[in-house]
Amino acid sequence: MAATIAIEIKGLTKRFGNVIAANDVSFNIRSGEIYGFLGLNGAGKTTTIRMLLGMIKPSAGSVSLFGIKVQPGQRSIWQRVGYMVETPHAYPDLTVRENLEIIRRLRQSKDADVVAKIITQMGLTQYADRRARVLSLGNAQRLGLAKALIHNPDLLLLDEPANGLDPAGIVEIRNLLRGLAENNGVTIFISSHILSEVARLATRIGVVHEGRLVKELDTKELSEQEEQRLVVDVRDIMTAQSALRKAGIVARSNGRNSLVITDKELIQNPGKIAVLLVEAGCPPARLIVEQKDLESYFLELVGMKEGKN
Amino acid sequence: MNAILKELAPALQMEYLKIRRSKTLWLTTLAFAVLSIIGGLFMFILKDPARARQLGLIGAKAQIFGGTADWPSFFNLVFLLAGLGGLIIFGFIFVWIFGREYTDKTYYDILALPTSRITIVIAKIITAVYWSMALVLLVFVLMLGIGAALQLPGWSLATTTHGLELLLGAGALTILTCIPFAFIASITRGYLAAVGGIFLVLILGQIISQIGYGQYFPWNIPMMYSGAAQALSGKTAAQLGFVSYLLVVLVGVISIIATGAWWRYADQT
Repeated sequence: MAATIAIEIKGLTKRFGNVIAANDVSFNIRSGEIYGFLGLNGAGKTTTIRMLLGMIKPSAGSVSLFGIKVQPGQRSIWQRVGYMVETPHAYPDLTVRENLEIIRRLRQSKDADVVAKIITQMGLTQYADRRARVLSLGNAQRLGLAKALIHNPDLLLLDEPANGLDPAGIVEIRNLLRGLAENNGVTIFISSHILSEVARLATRIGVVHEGRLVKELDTKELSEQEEQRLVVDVRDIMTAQSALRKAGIVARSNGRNSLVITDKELIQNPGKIAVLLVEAGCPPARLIVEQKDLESYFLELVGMKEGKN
Repeated sequence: MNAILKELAPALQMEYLKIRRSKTLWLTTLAFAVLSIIGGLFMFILKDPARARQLGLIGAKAQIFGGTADWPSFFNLVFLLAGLGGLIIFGFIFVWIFGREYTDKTYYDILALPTSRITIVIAKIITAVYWSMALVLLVFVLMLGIGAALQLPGWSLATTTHGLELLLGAGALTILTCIPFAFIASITRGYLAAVGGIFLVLILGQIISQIGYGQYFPWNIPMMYSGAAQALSGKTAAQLGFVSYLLVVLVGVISIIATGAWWRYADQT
């Protein structure tokens, strides 16, 4: 049976005066997927999340959640959705428990025990009766997540959920979210500007830049980007490439005076390349095994080199 | 109707929880209690200026004019104090209830829920109305206590009942004229501009009253209704016509609709 579509975005565009925050963004997310929405600060992630939540009206295009179009007055859908937008905020004079109680009531849940359950689940037990104003950023983040999860939603929309969490907290939240997707079939839409964090969790990633969706990748495509490669600098690239081709080795030019080889066996044994090139009369000036990391791949995608625009 | 009530009850409980824990509740209560005490203090001085001088409550050479120490004067004085204080304090209650969601950035949490945004706006307005009317009743109760303690002459059931009617009526009119500040707090996403609006109408009210159109300026009408405006501008309730009351009701109703529409349709960035 085909998976149902949890989120359907068609031609979503938002203009604020002359600024285009989201530009003709379209994608679908299937139920049970963890979709990482990746972009630099100001790329249009939060604007898109707000449009998904009906907080901002699109200038063009539409959003449907579980087949129901998001529009003013349409609220039955929100029973199935939990969300956290930007840095989580809470009523500062109310305790953690009271803040959650408010959300429980507004979500019209009759089960008063859900507050205690989510407090335990999110590790907030010792802070339950503390006022929100004195919470650390990490615990405020946990409270934000608790508010998003209190009603066992089918869809979670989370804006930078790892912000402010310590490394242990990040792992804990990652495991929690993964468990929700794998065990309960919860669809998770998670925005972030940290590719490595999203890559650990997401089953699919959309890269947004200057309001446009520039690339979508699944986990396999993403892991390929992390593979090692052998980079060979040579003076005469044509001769070197020809010599390698004769030996049955595929080497592509990177547009500069380098050849890139991705064959795993050769990466383990770069001396073979050196010997071949020396014999062909074009010895390598430099031969190095590079680990291409995700961050540089991401910067390449959005048209930026590290530290440069 | 049942569906609305089903949604409204938790929304009202939520607002109640928020105000119960806020300092604003106690500050507004204190402010209104102080108004009653100031009224009582004036009565105490008027009743026996020599004793007040002796106690150092007034300067040795101070001349006390404008009233006698009796129940009708006490009512008039409290109407005046509560009229001015009411606009500022009720206005601030509306501003706080709506503006705090933006200042504390908690509005995100109440925008995509099974409880509609309109229900939340209605719950907020009802809470502000209850809160303001509770303060009116507090003034009345304190006034009765202070007046009795001072043993003011001229008490009658009729005077007291009439006083309560005027106080409640003026309170209701003031509340209607304060709803626009909820709208201003919403569209400006905070307190500042809305509080500025309260002081602006206070100043405009004085100017408009001086040029003779006070009965058409909604924020002047509650004090004209209670008779408190007479001491300030000579305007009386007799000058109020149907149009005056209609204007107050329109200000309130249009503001409720505008605030609801803003929360439902405007971009919440």
